[in-house]
Amino acid sequence: MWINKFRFLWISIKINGSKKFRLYLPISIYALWELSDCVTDLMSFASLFAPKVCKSNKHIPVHLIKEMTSSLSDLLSSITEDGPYKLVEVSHENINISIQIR
Amino acid sequence: MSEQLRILEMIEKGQITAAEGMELLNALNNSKESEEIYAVEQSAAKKYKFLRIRVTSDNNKVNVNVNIPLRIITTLGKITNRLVTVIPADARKEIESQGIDINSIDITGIIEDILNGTIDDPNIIDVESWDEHNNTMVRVRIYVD
Repeated sequence: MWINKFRFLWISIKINGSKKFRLYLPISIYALWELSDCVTDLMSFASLFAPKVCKSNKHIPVHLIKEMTSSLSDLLSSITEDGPYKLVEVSHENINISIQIR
Repeated sequence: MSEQLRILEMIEKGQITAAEGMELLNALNNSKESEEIYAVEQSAAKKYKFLRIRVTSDNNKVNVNVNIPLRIITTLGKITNRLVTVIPADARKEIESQGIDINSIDITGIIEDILNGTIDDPNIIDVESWDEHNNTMVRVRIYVD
């Protein structure tokens, strides 16, 4: 469980043609998870001073943000639990885009 | 086996009648069968790990490959259920004015039912269509694996 979080969301964009272009973007899932965890902690503190349900859309829904960041942590955990795999791979003619969990 | 022997011993000692013993033996067999069916269902449910979406074309111009772990889908269901409780009052009123009781929707249950429904046949969608723009046959396949 702990080791699984040390995976990367590996985004790669390849364009093969007259002009070749390659972009690799590794994003640490652990860093994302830590970030969302920190925001959840901040929002948990802020929610102590905010009403449970906002009366109107004008107010900042602190509880909603807290739930969303907490949910993001859960989602990141569930993404990494099934080992390395290709999440998305799209190729059209010369363009190849892939998102992998590595 | 020991339970069946115990029932036979009870008949022998005269603690229960032969008819009652027969009923007990039948009940024992039924419970074993249902346990076996449950075990098979559980093993089948655990077998699938990914929801896979494949879009392929005959001329290999288009190729889409999406692999979504089933765990994410169930997590998304749970998340949606949690988020429903903190929807702002204005938005909630607007949804309810359209006749939708958002609290009564069990999204996790719906997702689990959909996933359980795919146990018998892993193919959810398998469609072939002619793409006039690229002059090729495109196949869309959604299945669990």
